[in-house]
Amino acid sequence: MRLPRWLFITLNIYALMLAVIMIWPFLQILVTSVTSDVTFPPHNFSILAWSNVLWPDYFKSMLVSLRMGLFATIIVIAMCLPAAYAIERRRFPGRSALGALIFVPAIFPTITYGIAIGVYLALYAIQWQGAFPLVVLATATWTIPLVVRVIQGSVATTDVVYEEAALVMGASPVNTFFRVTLPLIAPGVITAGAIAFTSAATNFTVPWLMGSTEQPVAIFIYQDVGKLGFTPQTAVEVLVMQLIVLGIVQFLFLVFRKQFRGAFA
Amino acid sequence: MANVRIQNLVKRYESVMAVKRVSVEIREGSLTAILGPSGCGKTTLLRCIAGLLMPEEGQIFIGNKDVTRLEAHKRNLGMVFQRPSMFPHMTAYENVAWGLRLRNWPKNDIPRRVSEMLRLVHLEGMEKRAFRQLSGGQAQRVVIARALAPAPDLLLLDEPLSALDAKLRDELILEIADIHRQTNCTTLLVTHDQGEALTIADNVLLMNDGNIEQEGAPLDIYRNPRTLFSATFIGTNNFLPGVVKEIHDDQVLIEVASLGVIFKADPRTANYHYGQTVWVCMRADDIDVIAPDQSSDYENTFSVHVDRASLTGGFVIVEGKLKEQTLRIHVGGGRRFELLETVGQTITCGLSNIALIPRDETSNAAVSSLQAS
Amino acid sequence: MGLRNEAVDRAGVETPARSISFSERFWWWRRRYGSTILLLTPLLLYMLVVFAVPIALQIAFGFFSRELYKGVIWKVVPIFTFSNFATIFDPSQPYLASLAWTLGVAFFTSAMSITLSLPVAYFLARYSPKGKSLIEISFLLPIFGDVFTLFALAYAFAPQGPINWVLMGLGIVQQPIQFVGSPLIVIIWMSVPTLSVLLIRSAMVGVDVIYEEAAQTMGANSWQTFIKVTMPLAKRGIMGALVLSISAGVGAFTLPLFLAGPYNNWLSNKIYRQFSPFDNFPMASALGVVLTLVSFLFLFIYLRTQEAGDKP
Repeated sequence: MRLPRWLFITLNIYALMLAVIMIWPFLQILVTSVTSDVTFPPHNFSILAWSNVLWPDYFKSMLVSLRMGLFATIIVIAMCLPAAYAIERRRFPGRSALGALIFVPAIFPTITYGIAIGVYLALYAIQWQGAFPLVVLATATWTIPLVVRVIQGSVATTDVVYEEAALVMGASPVNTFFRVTLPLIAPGVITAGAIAFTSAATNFTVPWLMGSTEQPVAIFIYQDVGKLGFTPQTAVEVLVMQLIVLGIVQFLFLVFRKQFRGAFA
Repeated sequence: MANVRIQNLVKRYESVMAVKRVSVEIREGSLTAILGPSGCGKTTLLRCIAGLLMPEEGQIFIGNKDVTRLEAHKRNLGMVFQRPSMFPHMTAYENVAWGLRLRNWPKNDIPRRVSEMLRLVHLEGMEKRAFRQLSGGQAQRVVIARALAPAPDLLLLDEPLSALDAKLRDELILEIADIHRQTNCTTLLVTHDQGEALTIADNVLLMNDGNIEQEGAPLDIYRNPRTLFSATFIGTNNFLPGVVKEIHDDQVLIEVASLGVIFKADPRTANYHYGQTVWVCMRADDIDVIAPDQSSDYENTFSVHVDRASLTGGFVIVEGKLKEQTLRIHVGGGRRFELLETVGQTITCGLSNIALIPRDETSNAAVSSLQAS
Repeated sequence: MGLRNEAVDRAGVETPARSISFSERFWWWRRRYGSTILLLTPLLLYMLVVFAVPIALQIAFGFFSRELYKGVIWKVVPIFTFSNFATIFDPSQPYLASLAWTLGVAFFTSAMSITLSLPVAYFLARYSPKGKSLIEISFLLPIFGDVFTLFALAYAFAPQGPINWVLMGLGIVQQPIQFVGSPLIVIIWMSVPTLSVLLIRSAMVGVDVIYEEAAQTMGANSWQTFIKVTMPLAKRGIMGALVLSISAGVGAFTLPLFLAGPYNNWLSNKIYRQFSPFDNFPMASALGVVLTLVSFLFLFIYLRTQEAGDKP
């Protein structure tokens, strides 16, 4: 419908304002990172904060975060890709119940799950407390609903006729999946992977509650904030991590999109 | 290349029988059309042959080999689908070449074979094009080339033209006939378009409600419908209730008592006994409007009082009455426009080809509901 | 149509039910479900071991008791007790109040956030405003690095930060407000529309414009069209976004922990304090069970809203 001009402009300003509110915090830490204290409008510009960060420790944590993200993504894609495919393509009893079941982690409070595992380990498996592989597994759980949903949507918009054609042409079901289905749903899988990666790499709650022996960046910063408060130095730490995570996501999209875009162009 | 033999095939969806004990044999090297309305089970039958569906009962033989329980990818078939199925992540060349690799063609032969096939479907020079760079008709040609390239036992066409526009359809259907002539590959064409089936097939299987209603050459199917469904599905037919009065060597006489008219039919089309109740089927396209002195050329002549005459491009539809019976006549030819002036007058009609179909209470009800609509 | 087909129909029904051998039955079963089971097993096994088992154990731990060990430390013993839950539902204890606070804030902020989302969601669904891609990307930001957004917020709400600068510049307050460390900042940020905008937008994209145009030709103005046509047709998506937002608010842990400080009143943080530093594992588990039940209530409501709206 046609909106009156004043209403259109008002709504446009409102939307832009919300966008600014969402983006503002990042601009704020960007500015704060090159000042000597947190004030607005910024003055006392200084790059001292950058030299105060304990970079070796920081990068050690960074590697932990990236490893967490990478392993969790591999695990969760390996499990969710076949499952999402089956839920979308096959008809079986209990299909809708399964859809609801997979959705549960999305609505489940992270804290109770973290406590559940934390308590179990503290009581019965103290030697496993904070073990990195367990932290990765538990972190991966939280990405399942989104990953399944994104891949499922991608499968749903891909016509089943391509798979049937491949089967009649003589490709085995496994061959069909890797040569036809997977390339066609690749954009969805990459998106799902990027979401899984970032949400696992930046997860604070699960490694914190499980007492992870290896410290991801989120915990590193939380502890620095506990010692120093919200200072320019912690702003630097937040900023660098945010840039790296967003950078990796952007890189993934660029690299993979290029390969697959040729096919769709 | 191979023949196909189907025995007592049954395919159910839940409790609904989509294919009901179909038995049929498809000749080696033929181009057979499976024709029927949507939901008649024709696509289900084709998908059973392809191996994309498994029948509950019955057997399918391709080239005398029982393939009933064989997975789709282990049958040596080619298939073209209704929806576009050219792989969008491969070029035209790769689409065809992958099919050859899957059938273990010698590596050195593949480039030659691909260009041969693309030439066959008039796509030479388009090897490097992807799906997005081809028109709908060209993409469907790639799929045809891809299906035929490995020299399959059988080519299955599942309404291959229904996603294309009308002009392209007419063009491609003739090309499919050409390709069949050149490759001589046994071909099964599923379609709901009688024009397509009658144009190119050398054998037509008319399906309805999970059964094969009639099988025969296109001309035979068109001229001699054996069942009420055959008579109503193809073309426009007029039905008059009659009784077999006399049977001679060269003709059968049928009396339509309500009109006090006697029609003559060819006795070779079917077996009828004296006194049997039948439907006299007169195709609207077969009835000619004639001058009274031409009547000797026709086995049956009768007068029709014209109620309405309307122009629909290629022919004029005349609706009129033979006594109390409403008739529909399609008239073509250069003089058809004169009929537009004949409303309210009486014209003379001639007809040689009359088909007879058994008549009973159920078919009575079917015909009266047909005439009411 | 016609006699022949009905005759065959009858023949089809009359066909005697064929007795199918066990091996044939198994063949069909394997063909129908074999690959499906294979495809689903990894995820189901994973969900069972990594997700369902810990949750089930937590329920058991909620009924465990503690006893003093050598008069120095508490030791958890697997002896059944109802006392943990009794404590939670004892009005003199802080837990009921904490639950009420958590739920109350979640309801209030979700209602705020959805209300604020509606105009912008509709706007993005129907029009191409200036800066559309920037607006859309900005609502996606919280997905990529939720925790870091929270850290960054603290700087925007700092005593000498931009928010206080604006408030003081406008003369609304004389002294800078201490947002960080108070529940206020949590309530404000929970009320800001984020992902709900995208959820509601896709629900509104799903409403065919033709209904709105029909309403307009019938004489409805923009506001009436939105309230009477668009909103009811997008109800399923809006309700879904609302329930998701409430359950996210109920379960929020890092947001109060980082911004309101470790001694805030949110139930999630109370659970955490029972776990560490108090090491009262049975109590932490019992509280966890309560929060889980509340969340499942919302899951149930969510699924109901999605079913009920199947036919708009």
